[in-house]
Amino acid sequence: MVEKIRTFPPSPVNEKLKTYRKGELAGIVRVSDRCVGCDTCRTQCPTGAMMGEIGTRHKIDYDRCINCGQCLINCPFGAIEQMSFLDEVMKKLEDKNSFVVAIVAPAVRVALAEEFGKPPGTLTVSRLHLALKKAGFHIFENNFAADQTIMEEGTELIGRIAYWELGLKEIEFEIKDIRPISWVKKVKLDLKEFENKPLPQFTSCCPAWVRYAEVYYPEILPHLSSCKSPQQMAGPTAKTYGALKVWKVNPERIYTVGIMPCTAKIYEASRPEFDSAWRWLKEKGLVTTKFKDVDAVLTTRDLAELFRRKGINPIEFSENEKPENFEWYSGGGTIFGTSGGVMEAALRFAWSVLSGQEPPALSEKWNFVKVRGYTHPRVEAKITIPLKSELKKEIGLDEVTLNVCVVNGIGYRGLHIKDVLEEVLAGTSKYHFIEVMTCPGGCLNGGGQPVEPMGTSWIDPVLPLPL
Amino acid sequence: MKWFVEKPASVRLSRRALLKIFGISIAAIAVGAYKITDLFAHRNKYIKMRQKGQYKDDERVRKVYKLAASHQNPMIKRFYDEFAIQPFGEVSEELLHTTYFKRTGGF
Repeated sequence: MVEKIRTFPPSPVNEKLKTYRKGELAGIVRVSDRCVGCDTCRTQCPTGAMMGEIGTRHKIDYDRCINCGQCLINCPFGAIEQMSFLDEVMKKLEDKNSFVVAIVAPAVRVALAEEFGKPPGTLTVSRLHLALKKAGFHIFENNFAADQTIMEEGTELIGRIAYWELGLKEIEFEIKDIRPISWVKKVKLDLKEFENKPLPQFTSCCPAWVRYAEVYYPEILPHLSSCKSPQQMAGPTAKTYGALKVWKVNPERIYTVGIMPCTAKIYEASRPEFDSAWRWLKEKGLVTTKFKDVDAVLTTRDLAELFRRKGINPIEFSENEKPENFEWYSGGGTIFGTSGGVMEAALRFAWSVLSGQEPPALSEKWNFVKVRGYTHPRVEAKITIPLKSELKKEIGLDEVTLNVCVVNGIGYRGLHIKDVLEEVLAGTSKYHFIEVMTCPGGCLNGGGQPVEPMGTSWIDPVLPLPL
Repeated sequence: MKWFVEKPASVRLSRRALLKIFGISIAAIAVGAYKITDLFAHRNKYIKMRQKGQYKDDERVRKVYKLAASHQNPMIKRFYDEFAIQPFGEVSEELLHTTYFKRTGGF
């Protein structure tokens, strides 16, 4: 049985805030008057934004809050509420002129079934797609956008290493696949722009982590990958490439809905710079009225509520449909939902590109088990990649060794990440690539996921010894 | 006339039986307590179950569609062939990359 979480429609906060820009949504999670002051949430907050003491009603300092929603899913009394765009999306689904696109995140497929009485981890992929289509959505897999992210972020990692470690001025390499037919993509990078992109590279997929860096460690920002998160790649891709070449509809009609395991994604979509599709299309004279890259975001819980309101049970659909268009995704794309997944997907890409190897899809060589986060707060690994002959000549080395680190949950007041960041700022970090997930376990334990009451750690503070 | 003579405790319950009962009760309480702590120790079980689901999906995609890494995705190939040309190309820089913003909260 999952716990019911209360929601409220989007509304501005009546406070003067310092760490938000104009148009950005604040107060995505808020404490209601049902709070009894048990103080569980405060021990889960990664930034110390939760204010209050045992016995008093708690309050969130929105300037400090990074919207991760860990307080919400760990509240034993269901006293923390979430901002929801559900009513707006329902209205758009009725509107015949709107072309509503669902951007489905990887972690949604392993948790949505819990809202319909199935155990955690039950996979809903093509049945989720079919249910969404029945509700009136068109599908854009966020896993596809995760694959895009890896193409960009993996290339960026190769560029940073080539510039800073190997001292190259430019690099050329091929991205290729031999199955089912040979496909080659030549990439040529002028490394001058990597002057401002130092090592180590941090992932930028987690919007709560990005905000954490912006508010608490602004000096670290050049280390963050310049790639947008998958959700923010999906929005503009749907509205440009999707609209013009795949679905062939007017981009202005497209209404993109992120379906995310996350409350911080609601905030991310509201960031003012994320209207790149509109800017790009306007330059070409194709649109006039301004629109955002991602128009609305629903959490996994909101989607379950949408299905319930429409009388759809996703469990009842077929699980064996073949994907089409933006429903295609790779194994590397789908593991984005778990801690260590972005790292593993990037390593699969970088390893294949640099070593030139293309083993069969089920080969163990694609598995980088060492970086999987599971339930350890921090994982580090050394990955040695042998170089293919052309690169050996170009670079003059036989192999490269990558030091990688996976931060699995920022932890209470930055417990698991502080020393990693301090090392980077001091210039003594040995890592090349660092993945950060704000929530322990990754997105699949995000603030927008179904709440398992047994999973709450409310018992933690009352126990005399850690179990 | 004897109405009632109370038997000594050792007759009703021998010393051995007493020890046996106490021993069994302590064992029962210990096992129960152990079980309860077990329940809490696995309180994050659902995270592991969802993680397992995620890797199961990875295996499924690799088995059914032979797609292990991102660049093998047929739609990704189409996207770069028809539209974005190459990672870090002009289109990518405009649509898929971003910049960050220093926020000073004074913390």
